[in-house]
Order: sequence, then structure tokens, then C-alpha cells
Amino acid sequence: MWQHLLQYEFLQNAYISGILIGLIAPLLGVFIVSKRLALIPDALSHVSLSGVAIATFLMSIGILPLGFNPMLLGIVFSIIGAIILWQLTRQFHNVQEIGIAILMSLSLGLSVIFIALAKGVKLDLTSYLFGSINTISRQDLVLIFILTVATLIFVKFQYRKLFAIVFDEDFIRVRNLRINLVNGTFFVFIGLVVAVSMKIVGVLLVSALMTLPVAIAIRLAKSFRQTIFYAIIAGEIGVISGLVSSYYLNLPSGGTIVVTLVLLLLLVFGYTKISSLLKKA
Amino acid sequence: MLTVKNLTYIIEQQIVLNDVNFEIETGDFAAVIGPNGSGKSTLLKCLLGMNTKYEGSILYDELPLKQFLKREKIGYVAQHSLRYNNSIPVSVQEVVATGCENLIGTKKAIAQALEKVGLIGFEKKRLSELSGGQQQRVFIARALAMKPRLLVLDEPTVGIDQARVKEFYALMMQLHREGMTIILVSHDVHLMNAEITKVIAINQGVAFNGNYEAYRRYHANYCECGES
Repeated sequence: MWQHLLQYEFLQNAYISGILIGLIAPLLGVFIVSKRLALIPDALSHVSLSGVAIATFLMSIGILPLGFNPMLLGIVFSIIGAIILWQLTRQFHNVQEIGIAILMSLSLGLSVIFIALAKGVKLDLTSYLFGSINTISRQDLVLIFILTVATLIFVKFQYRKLFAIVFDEDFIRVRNLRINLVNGTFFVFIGLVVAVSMKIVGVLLVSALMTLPVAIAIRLAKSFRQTIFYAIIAGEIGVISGLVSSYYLNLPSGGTIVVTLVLLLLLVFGYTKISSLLKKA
Repeated sequence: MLTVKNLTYIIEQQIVLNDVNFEIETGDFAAVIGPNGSGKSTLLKCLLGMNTKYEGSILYDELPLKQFLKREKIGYVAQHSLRYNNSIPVSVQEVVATGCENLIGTKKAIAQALEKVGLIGFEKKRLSELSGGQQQRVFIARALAMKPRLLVLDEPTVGIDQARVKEFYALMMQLHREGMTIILVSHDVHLMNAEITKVIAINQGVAFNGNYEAYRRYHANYCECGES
């Protein structure tokens, strides 16, 4: 495998982008799960898909050039969706669940319509739905690299505010700290990470990469910082084992990453259960 | 310190608060009480700026809340069940740090806040491993870490056993004697303490406003009338 990794650019793209997403998806995932917003990545992945579908349609009627990367419109849609969801969670807290469901259904509906309308341009729908890491291009990789750096900088400099917001937003409001901009930017970053993760794990599995590592980490950690650390470790284990097993077994990367993470979760669950029983004994 | 004038809050054509007027002086230990649905939670949200669509005025040192908060701090301890997502691991020091200046909890500032509530040595503990009473103390420590002039507590004795309630009042009395202005919001009209300097009973409007002794007489008469 190492020889092939050095030899083939598509494998390098796959591994590097996988490792980068394995870092930032669980990093944001910790804040998302803590804020009880686990449905948001799922909704945004659907929104993002509708962007890809509309880009394909626009390419088919000649408004966009045939060489256009549809993921770019997916990213734009994901950002718009993130801003809508941010406002929904902020101002319409009571109806946010139904709002998320409506946005998801609408996005999927639009995707189906525009994919059907896009005649003459072939969209590999399966790769967007279930992920196809081997189709990551150098251009995609550069995009993912820039996003990783931006996410790390954002979390590094806004960590305290982000933690305070997800932990107890009311308390921070009473403290009169300005949180709207940080909160909004956080949603935009979720949108961006979801959109670029689409090719790695697919629309249907992208939220798993943000939530499963967190589910593993919260069983082991004693503090929020530790939760982030363990979630990233779990995310990387999931991505790398998924990639390696998909290489050797020729299985789709998205599915193998998610199944690996679920197995890891079961393993950790068993470990914590046994160690708590041993403590009681 | 706090002046509430002609406060009225109407939502979906329903009057939640109707012409509420009261004052709380610096150094008061005030209890805002009322049964469920009386409007006290709405009042609390208005007082803390979480609800701004009301008529009337709320002034702190004759200033609107936003201006007051530019130079002073209000320590807020939310109701137990609303405080946080219990499944997420958070250490005590991480919680207290969010109350510190610029959200940066130096070891010294965190230790000082925890010392006030008798939880020194708990810094590294996971919050969810603590008892309800201990968790409440952590949240009080967080509120105290910002060195507030006013401490507001929402239903502080809910979900805590009787022994911890006594400890809670002992802590409140200690803070009050040190000069802290305290507002305690509760639905439990029996959970009163002799050190409370002012009682404001809310039932859409202000049903009672006076000192603790007067409230006891009022409450006794009210109960007798209710029984006859």
C-alpha cells in the first residue's frame, strides 16, 4: 500500500483529505453535540447536495462551464443553509426541529428534481450519497487544507467563547458578551466542513463523522478539552482504518469509516462498562 | 439598586405580567416568589435582558441593563434542570472559568471562587459526578468568579435535599453579610429564611411587597382565609 500511496496522486489526496477531515469534523462535532444540534450536519449535507444538483443542472444548460466543480455550489448552498439554521435555532427555538426537517426534505426534493433535469451532464450521485474518497482531486484537497487551517484558527481563538456558548448560552448573555458573530461563524464553519466532507463519507453519512467520535469521547473524558482530544483520536482512527480497509477490501470509504467508528464505540462502551463493574466489585 | 416600574408583558394576547412595580436596594437579600405560572420566570427573563419585549422600565442604578453591565456584573445561577447538557464531560474548573474575567480562569481566580463555596480540591472533577447540591455550588462559584454586585438565583433549592438547602442558605447568608445584593426567585413560598430582607410575591402583578416578618403575617392570614 505504501508504494501505491507514494505513486498515485489520488491515493495521496484521499489519505491527506481524510486525515484533515478526521481532525476538524470531530472538533466541531464536540461543540455541535454539546449544543444538542446533532441534526444540523445532516440537514446541511442535504442542502449541500441540492447545491451540487443545481450546479449540474446549470452545467447542462450551459450557464456554468462543463469543467465547473459542482462541490463549489454545494459549499455556497451549505453556507446559506448554515445561516438559515443559525437564525432558526436563535430566534425560533420552539420550531427548530420541524424547521430542520423541512429544510432537509426541501433540499432532497430539489436535488432529485435538478438531477433529473440535468440532461447530458452525468452526476455520479452514488459518490455524493455514500462518499467516494478516491475521486478527491488536488483542487478539493487544497480547499480542504485551507478549511482545516481556518477551522483550527477559529476554534483556537474563539475556544473560550464557543465553550461558554455551548455550555450555557443564557449565562453568557447575562454577562453581556457579544456572541452572535462567533455563533454565526460557528454555523458557517459547520456548513463548510459538511460540504467538503461530502465526497469523503457521503451525504447520508457525513453527520456520523461529526457525532460518532464525540459519542466515543464522552464515555472516556473527564473534561471538555479531553472530550475534544479523544474525539479527534477516534475520528482519525475511524478515517484511517476505513481508508486502509477500503483499500484492501475494495469497499466504499464512507461506509467503512462509519462502521469502524461504530465498532470503536461498542468497544469503548464495553470497556467502560467492564471497568465500572470492576470498580464496584 | 434595581427599580422596576410599570412592567407589563403580554404575549399572544395573554397578560403574563401586569403593571409590576418594586425596588430592591443595594445590600438587600430579596426573594421573588410565586406559584407556577405566576409570571416570575418571565419577570426574571426581563430583569436579565433575555426578554426585551415588555412595556415599562427596568433600571439598575438608574441605568438600563446594557449600560449597567458595561461597568458592573450580575451573577446568574439558572435553574438546575436548565443549566447544561449533562452527558457532556465538563470539569469543575472549566465551568468556573466561564465566570472569570474574559472567560480566562486563572488557577488563583478559580480557587478563590471555589473556596467561597467550600469546594476546594474539586477543580479536576467531572461536573456530572457531583451531587445536585455540589453542582449548585459550582454554578454559584462561577457566578461569584466575576465578582458581581448582584447575584440572581432561579429556583436554587429545586432538586436538592433538605440538608443541602440548609447549607445553601448558610452560604447565601454568608454572602449577604459580605455585602452582596441577592435576588432569589422561587416557586416554593415556604422556603423562606429570616435573613431575607425583602419578599416580593408575584401573581401577574405584585401581590405582596414587604419585609420577611410582614410576609409571614400576610402568609398566615392568607392561609387562614383560604382554609375558612
